[in-house]
Amino acid sequence: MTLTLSVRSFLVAATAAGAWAGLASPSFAEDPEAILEARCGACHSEEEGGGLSRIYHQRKTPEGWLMTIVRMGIMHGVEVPPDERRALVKYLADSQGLAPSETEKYRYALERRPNVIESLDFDEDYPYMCGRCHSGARGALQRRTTEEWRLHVHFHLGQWPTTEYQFFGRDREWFKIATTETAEMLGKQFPFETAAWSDWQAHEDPDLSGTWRFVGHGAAMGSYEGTADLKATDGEDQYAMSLTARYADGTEEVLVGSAILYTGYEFRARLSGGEGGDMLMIGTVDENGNMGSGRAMLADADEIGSDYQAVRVASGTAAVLAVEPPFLKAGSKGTISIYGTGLSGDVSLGDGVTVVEVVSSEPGTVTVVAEAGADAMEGPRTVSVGGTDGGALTVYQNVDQVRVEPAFGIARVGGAGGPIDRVKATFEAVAYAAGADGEAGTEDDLRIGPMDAAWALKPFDEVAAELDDTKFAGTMDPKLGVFTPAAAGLNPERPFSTNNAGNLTVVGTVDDGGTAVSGEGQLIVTVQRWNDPPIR
Amino acid sequence: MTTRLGSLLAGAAMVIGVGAATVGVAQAKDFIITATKPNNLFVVDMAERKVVSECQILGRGSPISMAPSPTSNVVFVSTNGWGEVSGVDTDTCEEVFHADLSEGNIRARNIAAMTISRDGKELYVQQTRVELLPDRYNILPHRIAVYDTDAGLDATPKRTFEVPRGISIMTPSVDGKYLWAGGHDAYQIEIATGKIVNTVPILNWERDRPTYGKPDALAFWPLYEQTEVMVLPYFAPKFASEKQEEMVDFVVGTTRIDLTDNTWVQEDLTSADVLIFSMSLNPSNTDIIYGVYTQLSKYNVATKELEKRIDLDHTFYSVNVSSDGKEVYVGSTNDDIGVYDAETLEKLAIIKLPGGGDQGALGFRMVQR
Repeated sequence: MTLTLSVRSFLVAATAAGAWAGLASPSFAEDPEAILEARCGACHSEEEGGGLSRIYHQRKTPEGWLMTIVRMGIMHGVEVPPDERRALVKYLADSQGLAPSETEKYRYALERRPNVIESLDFDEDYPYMCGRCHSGARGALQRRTTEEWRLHVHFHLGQWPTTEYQFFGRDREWFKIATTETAEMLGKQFPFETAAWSDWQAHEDPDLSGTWRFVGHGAAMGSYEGTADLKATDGEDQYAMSLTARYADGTEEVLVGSAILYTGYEFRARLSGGEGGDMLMIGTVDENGNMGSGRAMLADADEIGSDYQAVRVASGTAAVLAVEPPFLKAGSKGTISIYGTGLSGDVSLGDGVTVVEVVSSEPGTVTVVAEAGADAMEGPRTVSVGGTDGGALTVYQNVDQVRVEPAFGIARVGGAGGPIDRVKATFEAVAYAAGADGEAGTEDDLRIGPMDAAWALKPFDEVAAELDDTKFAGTMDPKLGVFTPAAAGLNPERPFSTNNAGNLTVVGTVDDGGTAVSGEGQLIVTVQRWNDPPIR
Repeated sequence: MTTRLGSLLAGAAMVIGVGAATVGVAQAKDFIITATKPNNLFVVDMAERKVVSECQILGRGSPISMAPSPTSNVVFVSTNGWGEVSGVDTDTCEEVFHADLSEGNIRARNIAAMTISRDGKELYVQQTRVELLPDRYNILPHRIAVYDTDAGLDATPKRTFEVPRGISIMTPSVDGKYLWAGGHDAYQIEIATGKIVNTVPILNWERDRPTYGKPDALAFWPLYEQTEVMVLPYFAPKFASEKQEEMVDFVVGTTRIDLTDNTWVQEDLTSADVLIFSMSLNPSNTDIIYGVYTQLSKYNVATKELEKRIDLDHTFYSVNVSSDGKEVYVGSTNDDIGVYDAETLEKLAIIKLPGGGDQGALGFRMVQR
């Protein structure tokens, strides 16, 4: 098997299993402990006191267990049929998972968020010892005994012997440090036994069946709202799911698929029928199973995504989830929608904002025309419907500053007949007011919110200008803020026949009542990610 | 024109001088041996600028290390994911040697360091090793395995000895007694015993160079053959004092091991302003050293000056010089070898290797036939 084939089969296997598990997902008819014994027991021996060697001393997220099982298939030829693989992931994530507090800081890796700059402040060497090949989160989302972390180092170097030759590997006694200092540090930072996990094991898995009200927002797609229905199916913690999402531009999407809850809080769904193809939802539900949040993304282009929040629709439950748009310029009138559940009664938008007209009032959406007084104080107001508070409406005088988010984005060349697609980058122009000190860029700046913008690119520095990066690296949609990188491969038109990498400044310009206000971000256009497992 | 003619004559004189040692033998020509992905082995006649031999390496490739025999036309090359070594007769393309580095449940991989004895009888292969147990891996020390080059197609090591981890380059001393190996530091290893008799500190140079930070020294390309000097480049921060607070320079330098007398020099060259992957001295003037990556740079090690630099068509990892000192060759990386005038760095030719595969990180080797 060639390396290329290995990577491809990993991707195929991971994706197939990552379908959590598609509509035709069979129920876990077989006893997962029996599957574990049958598939893994030939190499992993039963230990005194029960449990299979190695496996029994680790805890992982669903994606972490999935990667392990897929790797066992690719590297050791272990054949685990898809339905058994799903059963094993579910069983192991439930019985040897991580508590919510243990994943909290590193959810960005599970949610496949692009453009994250990691903060790994627990150990200064860890980013170099481990985090130079994969995200730091990948290790931090596992729990092992110290001895098990040590064995993990042996596996790493045995499988990837160049580790100690690479940059930040050859400048130190990597193997010696990794098996001593690093393994001991990890055993303390991320130990197998924790109070958080013992406590969480007593928690009872919630039933998510029912109707849910959700809102969301993402760059390029803007804000959306809708409802979702979950119906329990035969499998443990599995659901048939359908949802209707309405976007700010009036378009509507209906998506249908399946969902599963791991470890009592790890929510995963895969839904079909969307314009951009299948959609994945990766998030959490709260302890009681009444609130949910996370990231929704395109299955085949997960850099395109949004943050969502959801609340269970139940009689006697009222909540405001979002206000759209979340801002109103002082001295202006506008239509404001309030999204939530169980909404009824008078609408209050706070000091200095008058509700001129109630356009419509449904339990899930209340739409009003509101006016902000010319001298209304700048700042956010809590929105209230019939005494139910939530969300915020921010009144502003002027847009004093625009900040491009993310301030540092990454796109990747791809396509051109190669096996790896291009990875786009999406940007938003977020408006700010200067705040009380009248000076933009200081601590008291007021975040107004994301606004429509005109988008452009320029070279980030002299080198980028000399190499003509704006011409070669890709194109920016002038309205949506979506950057599409250029094709992969050598480009004979460029100096040194270099590829279409680039270092660009992204400029977003907001029209604030005739005044153009611009902000800038940086965009690195880099090479393909050849190995793209569920946790990077 | 006069200068050009003059240098040609001087070069000819030098070649004649060298040739005097082998009276009656026709002047040997320079050949480059290289390989491209997935598993093509080429012999290139540098004067003719053409590929004269093309063989398939058995196995899926792609090679990271290569050792041409000094006494025959056999080239030893790693294959099958660096896990096996194949000896290919470049005249017949027949495989005459094959060794699987792994044994039983111990998986071994060769990471770049492989060389052959001066008499052509022994092959030295550095190995990273891991014991594959049912539910775990156990990392073993690195070692050098010694093979008889005539051991045939099922070769096993005749002896082995442990070496420090991280060795990436290896060459034999001219007297045939030692292997010089580059890794974290440079080691002079007695072949008969496997004992390290001298260590030239590089990564661990803090005692000798207290005002220097840790260097980055990746030496993958054994380009010693034209001068018998193995050049290990380093990059390092230099500080104002031993306190290492104020960085005053970031330098490129070399550890140069003279294989003829087993002596070495370690000295800075200049401030580092471009990346360099490998360096080679000019055999007709060993004050001149060439460094390559995306630029080809020509330095003078005596004056510590950059004499000339050009941008290359693309990045190259390996650099070496013709026996007469007149041409510089750049290779590895893509599917071509560049030929440059050693004096002016003017581009003279690009030799395209058939098939379109990349040479990757494999360092090309030079032989005279």
